[in-house]
Amino acid sequence: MKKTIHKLFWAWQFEEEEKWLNEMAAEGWVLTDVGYCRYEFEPCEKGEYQYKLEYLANRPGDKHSLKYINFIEETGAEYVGNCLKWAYFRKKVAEGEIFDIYSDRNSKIKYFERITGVIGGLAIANLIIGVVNVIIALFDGQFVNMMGILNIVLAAFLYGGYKKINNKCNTIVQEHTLFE
Amino acid sequence: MANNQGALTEAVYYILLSLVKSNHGYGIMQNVQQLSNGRITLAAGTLYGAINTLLDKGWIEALPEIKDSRKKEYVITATGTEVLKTEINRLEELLINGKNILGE
Repeated sequence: MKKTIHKLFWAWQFEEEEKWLNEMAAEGWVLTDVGYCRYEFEPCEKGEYQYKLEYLANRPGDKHSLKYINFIEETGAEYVGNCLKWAYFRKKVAEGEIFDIYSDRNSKIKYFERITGVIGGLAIANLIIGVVNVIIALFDGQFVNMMGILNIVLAAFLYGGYKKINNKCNTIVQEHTLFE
Repeated sequence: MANNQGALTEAVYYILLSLVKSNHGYGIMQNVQQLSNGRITLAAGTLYGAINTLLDKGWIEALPEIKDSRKKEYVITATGTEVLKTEINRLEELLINGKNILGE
């Protein structure tokens, strides 16, 4: 028996997404395939799996990514699939054990910066496009440029996501000045 | 000898120690956990990043791949051993000063 669930998580909600997948596993549903806002589950032993999402440094089909995924799998985790550059890993865990991909502050900071770099870049791109569109429209005598405004709203929305991860990252950076 | 190389991260220190005898990724993770009595659990992504940096630096090297085995093995180089020895001297200094001053 399979079950498909459609659900939307934004890129900066990856921890919420992991939590939800862990809850599904706790109820006895293991993720078997993933797509855009689409999750496919099959029955499993309750609480058998823990999930970790990772925003890959390269495209999923790239040889660097394949090498990386292979390495992760050698350590006992399984690669479930990907959605864009987000890879989904699961691992069978013993009680009390926590499945993690990054274990020290240094590598966590680098990883978070990889994500904020992309979201921040998208936000800036949208802001520039939006402002340019609005200005060009003004010169054309058009006072409300919907397309431009939409870009600016999207930029603000992305900036919210950027802030969320950036704050998390800053907390770790702060601790990193005291501890490794 | 570079006496002022700075502190190695815990992860790098234990990875280098684990590679005095050749080992593969998962073996390193298990070894580090054992050496630290379960205090340190190296996660795979962190280990992967560290291995690549250590390879670039020439502190470790990859062994030629064995047929039918997908697991790549690594071993420490002479440079890596030197770095490790310098670090052990540095750690000794820290320990001796700490114990002397706290009077233990």
